[in-house]
Amino acid sequence: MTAGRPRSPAPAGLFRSFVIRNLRQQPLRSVATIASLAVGVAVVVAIQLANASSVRGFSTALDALAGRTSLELTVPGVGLDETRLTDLGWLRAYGLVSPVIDADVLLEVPAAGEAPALEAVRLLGVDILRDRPFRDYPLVEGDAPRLVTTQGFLDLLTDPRSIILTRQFAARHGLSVGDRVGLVAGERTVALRVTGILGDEGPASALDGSFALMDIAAAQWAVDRLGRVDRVDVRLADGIDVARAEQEIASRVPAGITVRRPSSRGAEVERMLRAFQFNLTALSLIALIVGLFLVYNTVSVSVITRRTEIGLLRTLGVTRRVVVGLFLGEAGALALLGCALGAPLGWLLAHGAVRLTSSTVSQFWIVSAATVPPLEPRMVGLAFAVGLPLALVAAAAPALEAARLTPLTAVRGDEDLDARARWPRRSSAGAVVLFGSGAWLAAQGPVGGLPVFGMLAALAVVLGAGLAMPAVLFAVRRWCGPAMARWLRVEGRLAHANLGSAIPRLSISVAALAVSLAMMAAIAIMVGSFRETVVYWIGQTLQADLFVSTARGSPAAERGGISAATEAVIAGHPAVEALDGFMGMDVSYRGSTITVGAGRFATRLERGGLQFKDPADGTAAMASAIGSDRVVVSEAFSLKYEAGAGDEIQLPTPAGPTPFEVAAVYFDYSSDRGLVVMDAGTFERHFGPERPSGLTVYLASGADPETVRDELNAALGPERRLFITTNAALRATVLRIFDATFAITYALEVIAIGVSLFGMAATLLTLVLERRREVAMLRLVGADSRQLRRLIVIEAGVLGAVTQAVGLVVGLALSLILIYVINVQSFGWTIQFHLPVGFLAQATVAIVVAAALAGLYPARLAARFDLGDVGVAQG
Amino acid sequence: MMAVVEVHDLRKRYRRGDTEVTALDGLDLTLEAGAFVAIVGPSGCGKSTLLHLCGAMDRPTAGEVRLDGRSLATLDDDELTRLRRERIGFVFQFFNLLPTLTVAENVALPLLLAGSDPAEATARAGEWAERVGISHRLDHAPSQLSGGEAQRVAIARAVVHKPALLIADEPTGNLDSENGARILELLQEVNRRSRAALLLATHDAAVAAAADRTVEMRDGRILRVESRVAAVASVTRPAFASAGSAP
Repeated sequence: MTAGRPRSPAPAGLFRSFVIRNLRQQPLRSVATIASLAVGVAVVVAIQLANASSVRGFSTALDALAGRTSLELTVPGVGLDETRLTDLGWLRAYGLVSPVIDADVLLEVPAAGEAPALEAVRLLGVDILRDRPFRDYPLVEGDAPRLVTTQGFLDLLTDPRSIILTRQFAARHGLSVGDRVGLVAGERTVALRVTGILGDEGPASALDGSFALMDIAAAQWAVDRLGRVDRVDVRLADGIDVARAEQEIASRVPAGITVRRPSSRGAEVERMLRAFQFNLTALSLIALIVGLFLVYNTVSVSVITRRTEIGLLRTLGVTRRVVVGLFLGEAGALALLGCALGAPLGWLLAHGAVRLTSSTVSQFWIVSAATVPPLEPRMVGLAFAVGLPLALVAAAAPALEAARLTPLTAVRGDEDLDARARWPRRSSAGAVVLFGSGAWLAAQGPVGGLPVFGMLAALAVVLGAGLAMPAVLFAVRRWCGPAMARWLRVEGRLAHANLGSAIPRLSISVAALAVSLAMMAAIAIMVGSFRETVVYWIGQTLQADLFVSTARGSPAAERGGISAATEAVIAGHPAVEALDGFMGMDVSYRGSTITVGAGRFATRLERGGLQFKDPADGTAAMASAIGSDRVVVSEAFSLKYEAGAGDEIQLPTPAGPTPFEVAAVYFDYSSDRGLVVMDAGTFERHFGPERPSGLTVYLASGADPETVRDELNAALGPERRLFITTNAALRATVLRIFDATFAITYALEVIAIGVSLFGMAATLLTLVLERRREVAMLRLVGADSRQLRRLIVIEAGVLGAVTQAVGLVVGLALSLILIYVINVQSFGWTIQFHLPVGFLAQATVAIVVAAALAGLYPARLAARFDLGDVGVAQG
Repeated sequence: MMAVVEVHDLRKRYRRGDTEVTALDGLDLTLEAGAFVAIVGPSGCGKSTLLHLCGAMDRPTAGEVRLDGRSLATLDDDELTRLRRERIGFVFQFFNLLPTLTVAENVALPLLLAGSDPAEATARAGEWAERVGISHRLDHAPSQLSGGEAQRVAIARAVVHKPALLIADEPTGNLDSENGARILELLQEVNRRSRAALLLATHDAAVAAAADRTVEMRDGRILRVESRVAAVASVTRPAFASAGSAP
């Protein structure tokens, strides 16, 4: 009626009466579309916020910690021997020099009546006299600044047991000057006293205040790095060009010392996170596609059901351009609301997503400070910048279809539905082309370490599935008719007939649901396969009976930690047959960070546990690495740096770049950053003596691991902060962490499926409303309310089943791309394919039932249609 | 002769916006088995409302409709549905076939909805399609039929379950005169052979003249009832027969 008598010929008035009023009259459909767009946009915003927060947290922390440092000198792995500092006296010609200890440690804060709280902090040990020009350390007393001279500051730190904390940290734990805290480094806990509180400036402003300051000598002692410094920071004198100085200093320092700008560390981390973030971003865009499918669907249904009105508008002189504008305006209005809701929703989702990213980020930096920033206008802008144009693109095709309608449409009325649906040739051909392109794209290599083609292949498969949907529905309609009529009686026969006529209307919403389900299936298969692979891998790898580590659930203090005395106590237990120690350290390798580790190869070979990818006899190859400059590397390292068995790699050592031969490549799923492992003897020869950070303990057969663990705990005493875990407990922990990491992925999928089901319910409702006259006719010739309900629920259930079937097939294709292309190119992991049959079967039943239930409301509505509608309308 | 439909003091009022519209205002009517009653009158006089109430499609504001001696007022929605399915057949001006079903399926629909064996229902539908002259179109979709053919399918569907009452609302209103005449002849034949009472609303005087009784309505009331003896039928039929021999 609004179209028949538009109050205003002006587009704005027309928009209000023709579009806005219609959206209000179809609340379910409008809400479904807005919700789906909001979720799509929210996922994109959430992932961007999460990515930004992890990198920003890292970069901000780096900037704050670096202060006014121009260049930093480091030695790979174990730090710089203090005695060599005197050889670097010439550095003073370039400016100021400050050696520092830079370590991740745990602080233990006593809590009244409870177990002490443990929090990871970044500890900087400095010579305050030298370091003050580099960084700001504003002491405070309450809210007021506490003004102290440099000498006064030195006095605060002269006591080797003093530590200065930040205001944020102190507030979190109710600490003040004079209180005691424990510093956990390796297996030791050192008792310290808080002698000052820093205000929120300089390094204290970074990492949410998880920062602590000590005197360099005290820090060396506390973290067991006597005689070594981690870094030498250089602040160039005014007027000296950084690039030139970097080059000159690099050419003069002894081999093994690296000179770089502090910002290069940030770039390194960003490079490492890039693949991870790229994958998350791509996944979030696929979620957005589901929303766009629904926008297309809503506008299409709007055009289909309002053909007569559009014809009338055209009769009354509305131009084609205005018709296009009206329907684009409809999409725009929906998108505006969707984006406005999506931005804050994304912010909420980001909190969950940060947990996911931070678990990866923390591999690089224990205190990643990955907190979600407040929702800034920039992110709200991003929501609109992504959602609005894409929604308009999605609406373009149906809007143009509307513009092609002539005034005659109004006179003739809507065409009858045709019982003879035709084979959708064009869309089928498009699907074939897209699937073919997907296969080709999946075979291409990575671009700059990113699986760009793999992602495009996934996109091609998703779009191909959308285009294939009319053909699938057509095939189902053609071949399932007799079965539906036989098993589901007259209602089945009618549902089958309706399905055929509704293919053009249903295809898009069914495709949207199918894409959601495909993504869920793909992720379920990928995660299931990954999990099975990890289960098998830990079954093979974790052969030891007990695992001893210095910090539970934290990669802190990876270097060193377990003293020789502790090892002797453990080795002395009568049930202990063998011990293997492991140590790992971060090393810069070809612009990225890798881990160089050491283990006792002889023990490992004797006990088994590594799965080799290359060569066939990996065990013999590993044995050949004992006592020689040969290493075994993880699969991720091998793929990322294209280093196979027999190849030579150059590792930075304190003596400068040193060649090592890759003896073997082994499977590893603990980290995607690349691991190079050498025999403990080789490691010591190149990097100096280092205590292990973890021990694996092999017991005599028949010994009970839990009993031995308890006995070892008793023998070691409470002052040694060690965690001894049994094999079974460690396996359970690994899988728990694995499952928690992927929990958010499932949560996002469930939301997407819920929204898609909602969209399908809205489409079913539209179809029922559109068939009002037919439904009334059915009631007239004797269909009772039960039969009507069965009819519509069967239609919905059949659609759900078809959708899930397509979702499973497409999901399988996507999972193959994820497993064999994207994962390998991004992380360097070979995952063994595994089909989680039980989960997929449960999901199938749930989806079919949920889809059938989605038909209940339209069915109830249909039973209330006025029978008088039958006689009066044209048909 | 036993009454199939008995209408007593039937009243129907609608609300349209703020005003109340009286569609029927105290109407009495009786149809015996095999009767052919035509309702005539200008648009808005209440013809369709009367048909809807007699066809158990709507409920009166006051008064009573009895079908086969049962008062419709005592039946709930599902019982009314069952009654329509078993005892009433409908033919409308715009055919109202289900576009997604074939001709055969459309005709068999009332039997299928009543739970008949699909094979038997299809066979009966085939028989009726043969009788109304559309057996060559059984597998076609309604959109592939001409107006006359579509209305024949509608008639076959209306009688396939052997109803006691056949309701026809302007059955020839959407057809040219030649096809209209054939459809009227077909309805008369069905009415004569099956002994179903035929209640037909029309604007066409020639169609009305074919009925045994013509009820003229105005403003929701019966203005005049004109009865013809059986002999009248023999006068009118040749006139239609000249328009075409086949129904």
